[in-house]
Amino acid sequence: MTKSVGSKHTETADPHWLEWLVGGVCTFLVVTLFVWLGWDIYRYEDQAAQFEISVLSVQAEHDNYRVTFDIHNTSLSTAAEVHVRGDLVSPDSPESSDVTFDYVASESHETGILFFKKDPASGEFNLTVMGYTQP
Amino acid sequence: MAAAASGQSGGNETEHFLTGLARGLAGALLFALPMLMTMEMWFLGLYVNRTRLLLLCLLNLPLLIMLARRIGFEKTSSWHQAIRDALTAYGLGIAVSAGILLLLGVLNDQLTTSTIVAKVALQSVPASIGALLGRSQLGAHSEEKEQNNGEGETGYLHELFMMMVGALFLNLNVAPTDEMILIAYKITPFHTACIVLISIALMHGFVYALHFKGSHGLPDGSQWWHSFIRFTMPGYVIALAVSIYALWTFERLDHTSLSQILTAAVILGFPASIGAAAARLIL
Repeated sequence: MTKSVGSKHTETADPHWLEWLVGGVCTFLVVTLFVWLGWDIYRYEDQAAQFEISVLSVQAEHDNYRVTFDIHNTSLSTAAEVHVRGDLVSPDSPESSDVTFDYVASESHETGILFFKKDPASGEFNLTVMGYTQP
Repeated sequence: MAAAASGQSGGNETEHFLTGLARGLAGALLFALPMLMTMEMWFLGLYVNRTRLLLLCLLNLPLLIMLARRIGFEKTSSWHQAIRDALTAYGLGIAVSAGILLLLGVLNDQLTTSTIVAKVALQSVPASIGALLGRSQLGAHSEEKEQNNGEGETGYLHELFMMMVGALFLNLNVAPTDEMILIAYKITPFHTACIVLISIALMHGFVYALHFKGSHGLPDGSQWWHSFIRFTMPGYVIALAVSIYALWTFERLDHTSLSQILTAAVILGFPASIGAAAARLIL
């Protein structure tokens, strides 16, 4: 509680126990935040971004195939403009499609979608990160 | 004679109400114009998750009511009046948002009604808070407050609520921008820890050390850390919580690791903590 006289505000000298409880819980949360950041500082190293890509689903639509994939940046560095290309290698006519992510944050996932005319199961299908920039 | 006096009184009331409305309009413009002219806010209307947007708009109602109860769009003495003032401010916020977006030509280029409604709904939240704050800070209420030399008490939960409003207000200004996320991607954990320390120090300094108008003092014999634990720490946690909520609403946290979420919250928590501290001084 705060007591005000005119424009002068003074915290009460005899606070309710709730103020101490809330203050104590919040102090604990801030200390926990510092512990977490301390752990992040300890394990942090300026490393190159590393990616893992996995296909989540392939859906046939009326005139193409929708390939949904997950890209996981396993490193502690965020990557920007991450360019991913999908290649379908088949004997008759190879096909490729690509997409660019604005960012793939460190230790985070993003989902992308590529479209193909032919069924990706009809040949050898690869998803590759072609390049990225530092944010 | 009595009828004439009654008529004059009615005329004064109407004039007073219309002046209040105009001040609310000015407040909505003053506080929301930066957001109305921010490109990311326009684009958010196109893709923002509608459930999260609805939640934001619904949560804005009790916030406005409590704010109206405390500072008033008009002089409020009951919850009934507070609800009336809150709805008036919300209506003003919607009108100002729609009008300015239309004026700027970013509303009539939309193909669907859904995106138009989403754009206006998103902007109406800060605009409606601005309408209430504008009435309080630009209008007669603040003059009365300055003239009021009487004694009063402000409850603890009310102090926390005001900090939340201040944090939310500054948050809504910057949370939608790409810069918040970009900064979180660029800095190291060491920088993040430094920002936490600076935010907390500024929060405490703003309210207790810098002797701004409206700053708070400690009772005789009280240790500095008493108010630090009871007010500054909860204030900072509120600033972080509001930051996480704003980032979640604007879909900045999806599929993101806990470390990145905390980093983004700390970045956004920097202006939010100053907003929270400033709210204790101003409101």
